[in-house]
Amino acid sequence: MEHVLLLVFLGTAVFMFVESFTFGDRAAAFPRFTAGATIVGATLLLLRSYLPWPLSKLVQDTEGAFEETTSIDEVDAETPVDEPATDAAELPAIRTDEPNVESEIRYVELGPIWMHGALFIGILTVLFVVVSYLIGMLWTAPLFVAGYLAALRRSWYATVGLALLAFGAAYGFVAVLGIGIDSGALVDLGGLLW
Amino acid sequence: MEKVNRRRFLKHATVATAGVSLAAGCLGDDDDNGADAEADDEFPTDNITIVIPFGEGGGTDDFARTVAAAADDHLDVSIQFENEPGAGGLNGTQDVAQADPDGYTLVAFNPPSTPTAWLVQQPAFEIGELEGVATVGRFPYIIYANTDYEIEDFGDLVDRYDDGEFDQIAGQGVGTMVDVVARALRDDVGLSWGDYIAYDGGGEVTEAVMSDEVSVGIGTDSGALAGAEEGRLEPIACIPDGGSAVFPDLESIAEQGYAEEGDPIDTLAMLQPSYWAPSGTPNEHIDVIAEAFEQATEDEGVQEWADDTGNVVEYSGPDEASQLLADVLETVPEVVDLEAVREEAES
Amino acid sequence: MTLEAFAEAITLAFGWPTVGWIIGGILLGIFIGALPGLGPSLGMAIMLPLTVPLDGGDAIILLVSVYSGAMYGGAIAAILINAPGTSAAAATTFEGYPMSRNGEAMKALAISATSSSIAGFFTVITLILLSPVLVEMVLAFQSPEYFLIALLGLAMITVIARGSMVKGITAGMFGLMITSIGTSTTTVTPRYAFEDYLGFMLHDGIDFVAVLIGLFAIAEMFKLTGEKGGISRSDTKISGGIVPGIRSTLSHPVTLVKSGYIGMLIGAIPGAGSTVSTFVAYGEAVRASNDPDSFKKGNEVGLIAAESSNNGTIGGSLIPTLSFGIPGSAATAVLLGGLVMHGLNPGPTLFSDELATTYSLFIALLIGNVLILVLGLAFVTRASIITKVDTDYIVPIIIVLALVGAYSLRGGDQIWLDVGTVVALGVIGYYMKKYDYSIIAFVLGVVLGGIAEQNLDRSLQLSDGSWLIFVNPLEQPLSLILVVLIVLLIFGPFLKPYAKGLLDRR
Repeated sequence: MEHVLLLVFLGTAVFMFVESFTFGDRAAAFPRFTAGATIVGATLLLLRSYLPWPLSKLVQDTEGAFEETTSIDEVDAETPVDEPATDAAELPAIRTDEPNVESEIRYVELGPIWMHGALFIGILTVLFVVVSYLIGMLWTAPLFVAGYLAALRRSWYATVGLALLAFGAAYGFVAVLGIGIDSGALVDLGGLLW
Repeated sequence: MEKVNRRRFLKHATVATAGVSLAAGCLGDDDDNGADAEADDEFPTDNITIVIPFGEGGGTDDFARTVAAAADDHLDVSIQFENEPGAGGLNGTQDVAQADPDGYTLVAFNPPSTPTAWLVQQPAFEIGELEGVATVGRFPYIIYANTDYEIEDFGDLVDRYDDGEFDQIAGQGVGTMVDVVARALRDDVGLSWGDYIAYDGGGEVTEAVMSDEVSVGIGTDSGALAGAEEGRLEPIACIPDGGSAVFPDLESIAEQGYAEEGDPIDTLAMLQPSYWAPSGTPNEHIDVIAEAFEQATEDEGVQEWADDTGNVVEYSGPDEASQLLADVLETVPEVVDLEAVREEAES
Repeated sequence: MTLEAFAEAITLAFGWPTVGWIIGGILLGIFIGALPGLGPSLGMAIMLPLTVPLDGGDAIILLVSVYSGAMYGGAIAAILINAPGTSAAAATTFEGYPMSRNGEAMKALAISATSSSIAGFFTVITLILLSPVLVEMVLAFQSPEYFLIALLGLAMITVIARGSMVKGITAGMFGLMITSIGTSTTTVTPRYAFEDYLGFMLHDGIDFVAVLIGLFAIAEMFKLTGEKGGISRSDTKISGGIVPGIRSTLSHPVTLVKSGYIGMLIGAIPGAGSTVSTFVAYGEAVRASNDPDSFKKGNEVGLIAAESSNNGTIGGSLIPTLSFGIPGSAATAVLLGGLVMHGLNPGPTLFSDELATTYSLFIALLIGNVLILVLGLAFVTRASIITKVDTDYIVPIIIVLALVGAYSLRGGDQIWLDVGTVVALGVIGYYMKKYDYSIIAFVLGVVLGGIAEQNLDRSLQLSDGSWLIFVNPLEQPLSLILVVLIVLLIFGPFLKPYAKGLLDRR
């Protein structure tokens, strides 16, 4: 997946680099330079296993922190929170067998399959946005929260309670800012709730 | 959303600009437009949304929100704001121009700035067809300099530019109203600057003049107040006739003998915060809102705010607002070489 | 002028509802900071859209109170369950958690509250005293210097970036590149706007706040859901005494003052941020100690150093944020978003025109520190409850708040642009975290892009295209110094082995 990330960087940068030639010089200089640098960086990283020395040294992962920290014994400059999601990352995102209990990854059990927690929340979030567009975020928010908690097998009272909390929070935005999340492409209340 | 190839439009339509905008201006002036839409007996029954086509916290935003928030008290419904920045105010303005003409969606901008952006960028909607609702204030652009140079008056400044002591002038971004004003000063008044150094906002311009990065700058009077109080910059002249509320003793260019009263520069250099409705909005609805704005301008809180910030809050009605828009659309192309602005803006 | 503004600021800060925003902000900040995994940047990013109806000054005061509260709150979870809520609290875990295990949790929490608030207090006072000089200092910086300061901030990427240097630079450049979407800041050319399809939608560019919400809130929530054990169910008991904690803090004034100022100084370096400052302060405490072996086993001095430096950082990080618009950390990046959103443009105006607002911000921080002391000492015992909240209950609520917040940023067709940005950047941020690409490098790029581009363009305009404007020792000595600093920063790591070799030979 890291390659996909790098290809996203690279693709965007190549497009922006090429497109910059349609601008005047003053407007083009900055995007051209930054896109160029992104292209170089992403390419180096994509090809890192084939690079000759000394280029390979540049792309090696190093301890990047201030000198002072390394002089203290065993000081780990990284917070547990920022720890990358381990090398177990390369396990399948969706699987049909029950995942190993030892695994660092949390799988969400959805009927016959187990889905990687991050993939599950990603899909649910995109669904949330799409349905919000159709019927309004105010109504979708409690559904989203309830769906999330139900999939994680949480108790019904927590599910209902938090769904109501989400509705209340979203309604707070409507009341304070008067934003139109009570309506969507299919539902038009025309600011009835303001 | 309407799909328009703006670039192609731009290429072929430049010659027609003045004509189009003139015609548009006349249309906007025509009150009969509004009669097309059906006027309900009761208005307003719903909340009114005012689109502010600039980011939060800017000068336009401040003015539009302060007065409209007070107008809220004089209506049975409440007023909501939506910031839709982009393209010098044209993004939000276009959305309102294409909205339902029912009086529930308005846009706030300060002629001559957004209409001038429209003339420069030529998007595919007619800004001149907007119906004026109310003009609620005014503030002038002034020209100021770093105190160290001890510039006596506008004449002294003109001489020093002629002598080559100064060459650069600071102002807000290329293609903005300040740029247009600077060009008018150069071409019609004789302030012979060579390089226009563009900054992101009014605050940055005063900062540049205070630190003497550029010795002379153009900006709003209230924007220059703090620097002047600290003695770091000195106002040289109020550009339009009509004077500055912030610097009451500051003489205008006309008073200093470098322009005539009623010259086009007066229209260019006086910003007039106003509210607009889409073409076809019933007159009755506009009148209801305009009345609320009139009362708002007399509110104590609003006047206090005006005193504190050095802004002038002053009401004039729908007809005057529409007339103002028409005047701007007519005057700007006459005074300024829009093609040159466009060229530099796209460089 | 200054005294007048100060008096006005006091009335502002103590007036209603401003005091309410301070109290609310501190409480919310402590709450958010104490939740494992949530830090000040996330708390502030979520609050940002909600501040729209507030007056600019109040909005910033609220945000800064959340910041201050969250910096303190991060210590609670760090001490009780070894899970720092903020990266700045990481150093706190070294001594705080061992103390908890030794049964001195109450004492540790008391030390944390006392040293946080005292250090926060005197560093902010220092800041107030410095502010008249800051104006002169800031005015000495012109366009070339602004560009170079932005570059210096970006060069910091090479220092702070985890993973490889190339990863950090690529992430930063990608961030910079994204800022060029929308109307050009130098001329008014629309760039990458897809006008044929989108009209004016992209003319205002990608919203910087939406980027922050995506990177900090959504990406983190995705990550938490994908992990086991993100939830802390420790049975730590809170014990020990409050009074010994206060006494312990007060009996180490040198550590307290030194660490506070270390936090302030390093916090003021653009890009370095609070994480680094706490490690430096902690390291210094270890160095200065007679008994270095006692560290990492529950040494009170180490805890005092870590805690006083992390609140000292707040004052320091405000200096570049307020005077140059260059944030020293993710949290100040969000604060900057708030400033700009409310039309309070960083720069000298904040120290002249808006001086009263700026002072009221500092005073709010002082009030906040008093609150931290009172709340910290009085209610710490109950704090363990929030650290036990199941993250599964937090995740969906945060996502809802983040997306509704994104919805409210701008109007018209930009609404769904912003919502889309939040989700897209959430996904990108998730993978960046996962593969060790520096998020902070990316954020620095996004934040500094506009500043860098405009000031570079303007410098060259001012100099008629001559690059000498950046290195002219007579006209722009400050620029030259900055250039040297940047070069040292970037090439320092490569040169060091050689320099060391030379020294060793001698």
